[in-house]
Amino acid sequence: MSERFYHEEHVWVREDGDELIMGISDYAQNEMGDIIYVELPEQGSSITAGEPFATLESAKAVQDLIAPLSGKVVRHNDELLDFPEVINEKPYGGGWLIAVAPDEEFDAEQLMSQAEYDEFLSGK
Amino acid sequence: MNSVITWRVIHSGHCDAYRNMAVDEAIMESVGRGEAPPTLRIYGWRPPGVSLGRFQGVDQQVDIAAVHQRGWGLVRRPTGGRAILHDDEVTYSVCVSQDQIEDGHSVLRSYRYLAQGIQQGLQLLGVEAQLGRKPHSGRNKSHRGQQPAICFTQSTRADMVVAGRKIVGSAQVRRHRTILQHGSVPITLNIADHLAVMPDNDTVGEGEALSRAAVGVSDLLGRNVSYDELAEALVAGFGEALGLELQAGQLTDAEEDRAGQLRAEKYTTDEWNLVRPPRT
Repeated sequence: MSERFYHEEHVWVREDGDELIMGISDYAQNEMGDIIYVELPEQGSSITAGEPFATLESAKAVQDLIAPLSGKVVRHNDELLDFPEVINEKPYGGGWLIAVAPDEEFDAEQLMSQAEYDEFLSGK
Repeated sequence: MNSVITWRVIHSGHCDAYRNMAVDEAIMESVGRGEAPPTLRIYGWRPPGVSLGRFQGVDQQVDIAAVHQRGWGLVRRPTGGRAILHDDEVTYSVCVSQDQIEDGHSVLRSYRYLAQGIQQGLQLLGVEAQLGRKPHSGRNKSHRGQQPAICFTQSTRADMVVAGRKIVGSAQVRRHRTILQHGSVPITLNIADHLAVMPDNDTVGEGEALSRAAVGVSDLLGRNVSYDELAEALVAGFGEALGLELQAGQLTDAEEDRAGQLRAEKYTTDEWNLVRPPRT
């Protein structure tokens, strides 16, 4: 599996062929608490860097997720609609959110590596 | 957070349900853009209104006809949680960057932080409230249809309780690192009104359940507490407990314009209020 890269809004991205898979980091799921509802963008819709693209609800909070890059949604993780808790349990595996065809060639330099993200979190 | 931060305090008085939500979101946006300081807003609801959680279904949980028959508002909040009837109460909202408060990155810890202000405010009136101890909905067990429709029949670790009865219910939304948390503090709870607009078809004896599970400040103290008295206590409580410098203020012209736009284009529309899940 290819390396994960992180956005400062705690969304991770990894390459999978021509697509980019996105999810939220373990840190983010832990800070939100138990997730009970997920709203994901439809297949074929567009997401825009810096804009909300999905919404998660935990027991007492609603969190808008901010897109780290722009692209078209190829598919979303249907399982989460019935089992949102998978995001808490496997944020880097079965808890992935969407697959995106990016508008521009993916540039990992725009995001943080695992080590950089860990350092970013240590400042919190 | 060692330095004293100046927060703006806005007393909005009583507004309708749609304006109340529109103003909260307008403030959240301006705070998120750094155009406004952290803001504590205090308000009431006239006419009374029912607010729904961001993703809560409507049809099976709220008697829409009964709400309309009474001339009350029905609005969907931008925040999570369950349905609330807002009538004889004081509502607070806090809009702040998650970087401006202690533990702002964590939902639960930020609730705890802000709860200190509410707790202190209630204490000034002689109410000893604590954060709820019931755990959040367990993983694998949170089937929405089985949750009680009425927010005040259920308390979580994010709510304030007195002897096991919920006295403050709060909810959050987070966007672009900005937190909007709002919550209602009932002065009195009218059980019959709650059940008239939010009948829970699955539970027998819900009225009894509600009166056991929730309480208003006046009911608890056994004396009349006015809106102004509770409002002033909450503001003082936030200032004292969180060490804030508070400055009375009002909406900026831009916030006022945005609130008007959000009220007209979002919070008064059936598409936002009644369609589930609503689109952003």
